[in-house]
Amino acid sequence: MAFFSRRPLSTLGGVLLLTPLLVLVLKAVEKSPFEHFIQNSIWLEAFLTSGLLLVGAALLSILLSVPLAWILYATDVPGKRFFSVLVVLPLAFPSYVGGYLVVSAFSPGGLISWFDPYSILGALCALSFTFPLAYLSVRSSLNQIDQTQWNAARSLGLSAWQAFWKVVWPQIKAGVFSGGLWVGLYALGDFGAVSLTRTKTLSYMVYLRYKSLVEKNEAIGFALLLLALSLFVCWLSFKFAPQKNKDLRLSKKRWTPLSLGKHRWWVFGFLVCVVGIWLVAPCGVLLSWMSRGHKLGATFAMPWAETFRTLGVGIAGAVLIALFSMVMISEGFGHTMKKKDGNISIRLISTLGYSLPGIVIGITCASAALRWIPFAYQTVGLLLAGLFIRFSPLALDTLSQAFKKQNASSYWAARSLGCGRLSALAKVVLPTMKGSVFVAFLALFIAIVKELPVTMMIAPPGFTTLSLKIWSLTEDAYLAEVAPVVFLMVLFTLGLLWLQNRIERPG
Amino acid sequence: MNTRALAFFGLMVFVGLSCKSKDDTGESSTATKQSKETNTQTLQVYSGRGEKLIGEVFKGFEEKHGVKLKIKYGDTATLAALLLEEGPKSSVDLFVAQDTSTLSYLDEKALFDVMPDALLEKVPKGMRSPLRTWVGLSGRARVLAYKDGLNEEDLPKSVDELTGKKWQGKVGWAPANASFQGFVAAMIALRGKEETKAWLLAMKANKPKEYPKNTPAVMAISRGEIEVALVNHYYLHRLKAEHGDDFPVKNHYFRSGKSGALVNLSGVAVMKTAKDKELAQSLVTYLLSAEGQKKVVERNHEFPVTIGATALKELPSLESLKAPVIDPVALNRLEETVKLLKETGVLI
Repeated sequence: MAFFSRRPLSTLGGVLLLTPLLVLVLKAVEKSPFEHFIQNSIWLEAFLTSGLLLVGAALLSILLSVPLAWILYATDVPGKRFFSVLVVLPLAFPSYVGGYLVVSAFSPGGLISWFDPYSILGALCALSFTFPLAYLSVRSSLNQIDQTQWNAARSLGLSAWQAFWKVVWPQIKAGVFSGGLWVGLYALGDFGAVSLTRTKTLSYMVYLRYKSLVEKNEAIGFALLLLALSLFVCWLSFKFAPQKNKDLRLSKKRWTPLSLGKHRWWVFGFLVCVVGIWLVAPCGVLLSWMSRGHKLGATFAMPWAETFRTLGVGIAGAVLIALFSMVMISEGFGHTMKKKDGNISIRLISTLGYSLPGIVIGITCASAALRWIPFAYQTVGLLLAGLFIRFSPLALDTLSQAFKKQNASSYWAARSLGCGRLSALAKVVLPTMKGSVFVAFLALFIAIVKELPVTMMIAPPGFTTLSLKIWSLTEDAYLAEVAPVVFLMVLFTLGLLWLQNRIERPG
Repeated sequence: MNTRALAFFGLMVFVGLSCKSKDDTGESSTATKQSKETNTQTLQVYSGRGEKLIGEVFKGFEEKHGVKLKIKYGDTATLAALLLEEGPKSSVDLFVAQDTSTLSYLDEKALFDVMPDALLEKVPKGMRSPLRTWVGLSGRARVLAYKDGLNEEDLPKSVDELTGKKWQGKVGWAPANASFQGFVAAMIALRGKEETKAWLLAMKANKPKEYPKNTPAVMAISRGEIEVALVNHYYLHRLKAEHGDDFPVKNHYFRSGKSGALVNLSGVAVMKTAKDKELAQSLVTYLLSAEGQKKVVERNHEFPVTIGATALKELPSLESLKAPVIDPVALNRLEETVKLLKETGVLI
């Protein structure tokens, strides 16, 4: 492809991102995984379930995060700062913890048996814990809206709703859409939630087939099918997704909160409900496991080694992936600063890793490393590469959105004044988009820290992380000991959000 | 404020990176191990048995023999898939699996090394590979877990009774689980394929509830979602330790000498790719020693497998379970079992 000539880092990144697809196709050619597909229709069922779950999860997250983000950004609701941190925390729960909670709450004999949790509805509930991913995206696009336009619209007699639709929505819809898409793609590749709620999606089938060793070949077929679905959805969304309205100017002024007046308290109530359902309730359950276990003599030793390893891989991974993505974007990967929409096939490549189940990334990375770079097998370097493949789509999207909002001329001015590409990036572009960089970093960090299958497969032996520990403890039903480890992850997230607050605060 | 936050952030990155590089050097010391520059010997282990259940035994070995173990914990099937991927390029010395069907499957692919007789003969004949490539580590009995309050006399005498009207919609099982598949394989070996098929179909028609694993099935009994479940015996002990002795579930051992009373095994094999076979075997020796066996079974309330080992007080003796005597070869027809399970629609 002409695109890759003279773009060495994008080429490297592109090759990495294409690795899973390449290995899958190679294996498919070797092993003809579609043999059994003709005989039974489970693949069709799984395909439809996956599609439904994707759309459902995306819609649910959008319905929840748009009002949340708007309330927390634009209004004077009490406890704003506090709530803006709390609503992100549900992201720190691994999805099988969500699945476990949903099943024990809604199943017959559980706390509230309103519906059958062993259904797509149950899976949706369990996956709803990922809504902050969409919230973060909406929130960062809100940062750019212009209050003078809002005020103008209001003074011309538009109601708050109308003003929102006319002024705010055109500015944020691209961010809303991509936030929803990421939640949907996450749902597509998830295993924890769907397995506990017995929802037979494509990703569930991939795991099932991999685990029963004799049918491993069929897993390749399901993985390819999953990839096809996600590529189709991404293509649709890139083709038809709302684009940001370019004519609207960006504001550098701070937004003065709108007064909610008499609505204050029910809006506050809404926030309390959200935090109650998605944060307090699960924390309560975890605490009850802990106290029950404590009474029965369960001991908890602080897993220091695992904690430092997790922090190390999380921070180093997030920084490296974010930096690398930024360089790729500056070379024109994803959206370009010059072209309007960027190259659609490049954008599709950049989403490949995110929707594939981790086990597929894990096995294809292992396979690729063993085939082509055996010296890298079982090194931290390979783990970072695997995490790059899986999560760089998150960073590429957030950062390229931010890049699009940049004033390209200042970048080129710096270049023409003799700055190299990297130093122009560092001196001119980076300072103006640190908010988005931090959002990308945060999303990456949480994703990496929670990640399980890729770490399990390609981390060096002895390299146990917190998520591996949580998995192993849940697997052997050491619930009382799981709880504090999950809290540790929540704590990390909290620390980062505090840091973000510090960085974003002016002065 | 801003600079302080940034400084803190920088510090975190520094800690993270230094931590990473420390692990990197850990890696390279594994590599130099082959060139014998360092004196500590290392073994690389893939363990399908969780750290909680086997970590202490590994530690005991490290302390006693001065050998450093590099352990990758994971799910048995995932690690097996990884070993198949690695093939002859693998640097793994030992593989610990939660079930013998996985061991036998890898055995067929000729990944394991033959063990010396002295080691193999520590366990009874039925609990090791006929190809002399793996040995059992611990026994895990199949049971019918049931809701506390059900009368023991009302419980089925064999799995056949579970197809009756009485149990319609009340049975839980986990067909994707390796130990369930081991039980079906045992049934095929004892009664033949046709009869097993008939039983599976009758069960299926009786609307059992399907769970991804055993733990959720036992939890479902405690909630009253189902009344009985075909699971392994130790989940109950684990969940009792977690929920207290009033956890409302009990174990029913079939003691029938038939497939329902099967005792599955976890096991260990030395890889063909092991560099120092004797060193690798010394870990197996330790696992099968009195001390090792005690540590292996204690945590998870399993049955020791070595000849002459004493069972845990809380459990019935292994002999009293009247487990069926089946040739391990017959038990390991994973492919045939999975095929039958899919044919009957039990597995999708």
